[in-house]
Amino acid sequence: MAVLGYLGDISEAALLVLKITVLAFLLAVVLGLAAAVGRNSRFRILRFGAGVYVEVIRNTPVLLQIFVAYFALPNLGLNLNAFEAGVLALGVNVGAYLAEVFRAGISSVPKGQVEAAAILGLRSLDISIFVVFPQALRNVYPAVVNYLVQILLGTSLLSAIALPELTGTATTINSRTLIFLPVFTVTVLVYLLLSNVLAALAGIIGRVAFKPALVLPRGSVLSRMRLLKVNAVRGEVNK
Amino acid sequence: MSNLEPIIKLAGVTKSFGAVQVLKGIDLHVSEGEVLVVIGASGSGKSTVLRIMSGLETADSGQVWVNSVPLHDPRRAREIRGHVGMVFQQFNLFPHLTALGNVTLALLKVRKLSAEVAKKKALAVLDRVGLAEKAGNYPSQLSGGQQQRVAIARALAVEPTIMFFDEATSALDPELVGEVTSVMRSLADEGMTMVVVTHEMSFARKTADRVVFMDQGIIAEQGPPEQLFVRPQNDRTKQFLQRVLEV
Repeated sequence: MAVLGYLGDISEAALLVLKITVLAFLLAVVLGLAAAVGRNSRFRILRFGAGVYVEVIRNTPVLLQIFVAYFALPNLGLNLNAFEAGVLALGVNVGAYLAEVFRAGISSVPKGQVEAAAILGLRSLDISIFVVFPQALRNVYPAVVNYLVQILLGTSLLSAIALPELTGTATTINSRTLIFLPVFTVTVLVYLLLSNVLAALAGIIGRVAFKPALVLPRGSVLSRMRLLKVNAVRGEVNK
Repeated sequence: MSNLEPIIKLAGVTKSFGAVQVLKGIDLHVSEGEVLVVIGASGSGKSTVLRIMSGLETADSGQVWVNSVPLHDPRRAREIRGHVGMVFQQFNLFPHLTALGNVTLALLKVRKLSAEVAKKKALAVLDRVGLAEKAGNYPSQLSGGQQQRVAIARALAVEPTIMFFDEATSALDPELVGEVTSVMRSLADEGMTMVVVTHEMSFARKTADRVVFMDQGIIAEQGPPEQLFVRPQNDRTKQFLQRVLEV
């Protein structure tokens, strides 16, 4: 198995993918929250700015955004290496989608919750922080976790700016060795491992951070398969 | 009923939602310590009156004085917050907080009490509605009647001068209504000023000092319960009572 000789490169690439994913995700959450609040703001300029951000990003290809971050920003005096450009592009991209998710989450909190808090005398900032946001985040948490996995998979596009992430590393090994099937098989397994580790972590965070505990509807691939089996058995019983 | 200046005064209050005028000129006084029950068909405007009195809606015209705050003045309307309590049909408990957390939130953020004092006070209020032992439960772990009693405790914790009840028992299973109305009755016995919108005619009969019957945006008739229920003067009142009491 010649592929074994490259496990070092592959695990290094996997670590890089994880690093980019986590950083880009944090950036996306911050941008998404800011844009969601901006779009609901009293101030027209904030509503406008947030709207432009969300619409421009959601209507252009992410690959183009990566190229802009890497090749075009230096023209504006902002020199980013491939890693920084990748984090920025993926974070900005997913942030625009999260903005819409957070906005939906905020409007999913019933008006009666705000009324109950207002009549108790809470200021509007306290109402947002202690009443609306916790419920909004809970409602959209599964969708937010999906975007985390989206970022993970999106890192493969960064091979286009020569970042030695997982997919790029796999093709490099392939061009050197021509053992396509084993290399891609290992690559697929590593992506599955990474996405399931992230989803499992997100599941644990959901159970701990939200009260009462939030159980994600879809967990790891393994738990999904277990669910399928249970449902199949239930189907049998119902017949 | 006391002879003091009324604690709630509405004069010529109107309110429209879009093209629909739901209140067509309401004049109403409530005295301190009085239990006022508002009845009427749905759409008669009774909930809107209550929401205007509690500051959740603003009147289009007319004057609204509650606890000496002019609610018709948008610059001052906020002053009422934290001084009146409201119990909603849908409970509106905060689902991410325990019963205790629901009650302490305003004590911590509005009254700025220390966590320890707030907790002690909240437990005392929960005990008053018979739920001290459920302090650690989330709303989803409580029955409807228990949730509504926590909502009452949450409102009481800030020591309101007036309690508003907006169809507080309408969303409950019939066997759970009693536990909520008995808490409401004990509040009335303690001298709390209460304005209660309800379909529970037996509560109105037994507990109200005065009953107001609303019909199509006006007060059609009002008086002590024995008068309104036994000898209604207005034809619409008679029709309404016949419909709700014949069940």
